[in-house]
Amino acid sequence: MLNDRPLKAIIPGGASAPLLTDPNVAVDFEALKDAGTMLGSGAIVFMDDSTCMVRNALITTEFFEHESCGKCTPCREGTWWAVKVLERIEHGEGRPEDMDLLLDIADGIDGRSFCPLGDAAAWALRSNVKLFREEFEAHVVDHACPFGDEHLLVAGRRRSGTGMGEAGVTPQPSAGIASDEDAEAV
Amino acid sequence: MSDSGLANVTINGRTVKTQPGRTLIDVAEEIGVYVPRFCYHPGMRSVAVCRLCLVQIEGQRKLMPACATPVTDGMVVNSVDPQAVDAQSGMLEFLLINHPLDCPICDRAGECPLQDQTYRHGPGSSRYVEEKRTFEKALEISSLVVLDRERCVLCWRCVRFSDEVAGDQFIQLVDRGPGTQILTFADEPFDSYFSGNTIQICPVGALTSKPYRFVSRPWNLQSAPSVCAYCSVGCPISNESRSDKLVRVQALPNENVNDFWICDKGRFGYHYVDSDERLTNPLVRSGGEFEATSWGAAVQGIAEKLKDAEKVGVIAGGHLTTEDAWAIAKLAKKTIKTPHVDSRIQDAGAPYEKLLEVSGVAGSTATMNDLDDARTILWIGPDPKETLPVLYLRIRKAVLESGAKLIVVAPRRMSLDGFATHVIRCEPHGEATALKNLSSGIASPGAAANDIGDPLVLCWAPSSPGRDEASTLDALFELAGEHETKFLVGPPHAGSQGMIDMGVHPALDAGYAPASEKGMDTRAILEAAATGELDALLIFGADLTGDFPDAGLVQRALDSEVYLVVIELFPTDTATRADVLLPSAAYSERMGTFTNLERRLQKLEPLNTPPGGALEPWRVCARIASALGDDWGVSSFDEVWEAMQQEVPTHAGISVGSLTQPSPPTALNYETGFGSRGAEAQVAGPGGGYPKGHRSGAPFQTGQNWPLSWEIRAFEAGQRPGIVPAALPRKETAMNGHSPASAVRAEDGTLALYTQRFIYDQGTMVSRSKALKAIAKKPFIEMHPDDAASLQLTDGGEAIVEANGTQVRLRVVLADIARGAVFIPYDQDGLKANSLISGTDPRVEVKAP
Repeated sequence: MLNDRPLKAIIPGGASAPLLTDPNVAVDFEALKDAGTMLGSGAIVFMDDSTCMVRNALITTEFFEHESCGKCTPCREGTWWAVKVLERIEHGEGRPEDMDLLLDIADGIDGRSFCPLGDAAAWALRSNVKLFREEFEAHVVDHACPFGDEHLLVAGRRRSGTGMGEAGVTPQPSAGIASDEDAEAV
Repeated sequence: MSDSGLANVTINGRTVKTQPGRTLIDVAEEIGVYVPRFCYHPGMRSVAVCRLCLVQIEGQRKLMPACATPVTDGMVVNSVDPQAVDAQSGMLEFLLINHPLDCPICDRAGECPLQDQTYRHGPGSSRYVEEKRTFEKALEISSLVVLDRERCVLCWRCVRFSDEVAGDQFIQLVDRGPGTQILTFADEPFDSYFSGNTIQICPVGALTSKPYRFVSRPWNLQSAPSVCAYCSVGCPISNESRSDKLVRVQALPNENVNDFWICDKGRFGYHYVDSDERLTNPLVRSGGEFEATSWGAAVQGIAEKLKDAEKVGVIAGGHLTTEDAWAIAKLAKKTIKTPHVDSRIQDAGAPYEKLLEVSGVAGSTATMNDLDDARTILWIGPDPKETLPVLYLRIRKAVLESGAKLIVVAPRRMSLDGFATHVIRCEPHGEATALKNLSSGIASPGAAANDIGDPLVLCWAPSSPGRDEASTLDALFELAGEHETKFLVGPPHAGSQGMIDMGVHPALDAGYAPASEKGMDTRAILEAAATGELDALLIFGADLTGDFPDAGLVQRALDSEVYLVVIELFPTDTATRADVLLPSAAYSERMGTFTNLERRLQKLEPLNTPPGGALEPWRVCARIASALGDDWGVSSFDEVWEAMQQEVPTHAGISVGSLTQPSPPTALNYETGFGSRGAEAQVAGPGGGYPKGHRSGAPFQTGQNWPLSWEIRAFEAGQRPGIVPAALPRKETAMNGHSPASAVRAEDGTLALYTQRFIYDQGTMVSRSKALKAIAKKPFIEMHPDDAASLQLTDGGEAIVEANGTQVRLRVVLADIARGAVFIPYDQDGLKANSLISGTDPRVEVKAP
């Protein structure tokens, strides 16, 4: 990959596609399905080993939280909750039980929402936690993101208070919008 | 499919037969399998947004929402499948993460579906350690409803109700995602006449009642099923009290009458019952002042006067029960032997008896369910949204959901116009002509006449106090003759039809028999009193001062020397003129039945004790009769009914026991009410039973504090059907002819006055209900823009209105009303419109200041 860094993870088909770590899969519907993921929207993202997977989970889940229409309980509340937990982990305030909690949240959304957006959020979340569990655990044990603090300036800006802006006022848009500079190098 | 066309559905191992296509959640509940839910409500379409009712269905890859799944033959359902149980618990956990820890201060606690369903189906503790989303709490979105967005579980029930049922979308979903909230529009409070229903269907404490805020906990309440005492729709309600004071009224469902709804007047108009102004003891006028006396002395005094009276008149109001009506008619016609009896006050002269020309009843031949089956509905009457609100909801439902075509014939715009297929704006007094034009003949394309199909329901309610409607009825009969027709008649008040049925009418005896001796009607009685020809006048439960469409005549009658006996709740203007003033029990303090506009009998159960010595009017009649030497032998409700069944042919076969609900058990102790309490709390089968306190499968028992405010199933309304006595075969009856209405336009420059009651007005009961007083409208005058222009009047400006020696200034409202007509509300704070009326063709002079 760029700067000769090793490949760490691939999103093969849009934000909801479960991650791949092995690139030796044909880019077609059947092959990716057999690999446990999907071609989906065809948007492919490569991440090298400088990528924090907790951060990846956080901004992906923030994306789904922002996109969530709010109609059904699991997606609306589940993505909200998962974002809060991921924020804590990324900012060094994770707890050992948080990874299982995230998986439970994913299970609570998957298959139970009104539309597939909930499923999408669940698959993305579950994939990140399952494949990179030790990285999540490192965040918890070290009480810090192993990839450094500069990271935190752009990733999942920590929202103060309830994240709802001032009480009684409509909430501010989700912070998980990365700028062009943060685009993953391919 | 079985031979009968029914589907075999297996739920948690039990197989039932039911109609295919029914909602799974309903079928499950009927056999005692309770599937937790929030957004599902039997009165509205399913949206499946809460995802709580997920169940496992054989052959389906994912869990299915039971509220949105129609049953099919061979369906096998498991609501206690571990996956389903995990999903149900998970949904509750998700809803609880942002739910504030408000139980100690939330009105809903103790009767809360979130509490109860979490207890039964949810997690035992919380795993959420983050900050919850917050909103400003306790927003008063109207003077009756308080909104707390933090508690909202976004079930959408309130929004769907406002949109689907009430049709006034004052409350809406705003924003999206986790920030979604329920809100009203910035400059519009929740000014719906049906807003209180959202409080009852809200499964949490997000929407709560302002008048009931912090008043009581549900386990401190006692309740009794009853019927609303206001209008003639007769919605079943639950009266709820604490320490013998009415503190709340909620809707009970009856799929035949009100579905699940009541209007805000019925819901919040109860404070008058416990008002300090209530009359408590018999009063006798002595030397210009009232003196308290005993019942015995009062009744004796009345009997002595009546013995010497030659001409006696009896006027009864419209909020008394069927039993009161029977007793009043019997006292007047059989004991005192006077034929001068009438109960039509606001609807004075309304020719209900004319209906006997076409059917066997002086009332409806249709029920409200017939609206749902009708191809065409024709409405002639006042705006039902103000006067018969839940009938307005029924008509709206029939049009929008069952596809009935609605034709409105009226001289002014009303709420029905919004979804009517045709609106015929007729001239003042032109209803009959407009109807004749609808009758047979070739109709131009798009004309209303093309849309008159069978079955046809003709709705008629007396449209404007003081107007003669005989010709309107004649035209309706002609139209009816050409079609398969039923009549839905709308007398104004809860007790009005009962009065007609029992013969409190100068031309009718009980059971619609022609009166053995025709008597004077209300107007003639008052005229006789005013001219000194009447010796005694008994007035039961009526304040004529604001109610009879001729205020001047009322005053002359009350000012006269007539011996006046009034049975009343309050010291009204009429009451304070009495020679003897007797205290009446209120509707929540006594047993009785109301006969609604369908002629349906529904029962009231007593809850609180009447103040002092207040009695039911029927008992007062029995005592007066006794003192006159005619002992009726009735001293209980059951004895009254035995007598009624013997004396009134239409009611002979009615089993009043089937109207009775068993007396409520003592409120369950909160702690022990859940789970194992023997057979009472037993669930009917495997799988989740009804949450705490509810007895699955058992008939619905009112008096239990909690289940009344939510999750009341339509099939439980089967406990409350009401009885509509069968219409008798039509007898040939000779009725007085009526002369046609006077000319449409007057050359004297006056305009025809139309009037009707508004929902919140100066009525005796509603004006003493403090929650509603503040939202009653001020009086105004509606005119056609061209008429206003010709009189140099502007919208919002003032007009001087004069008639009958009364002059008043009113704000002008330009409106869709026939030229030559004006509209003024009947009885608002600032103007009793009956002071502008005398005779049967009310007209007013209007000029610029």
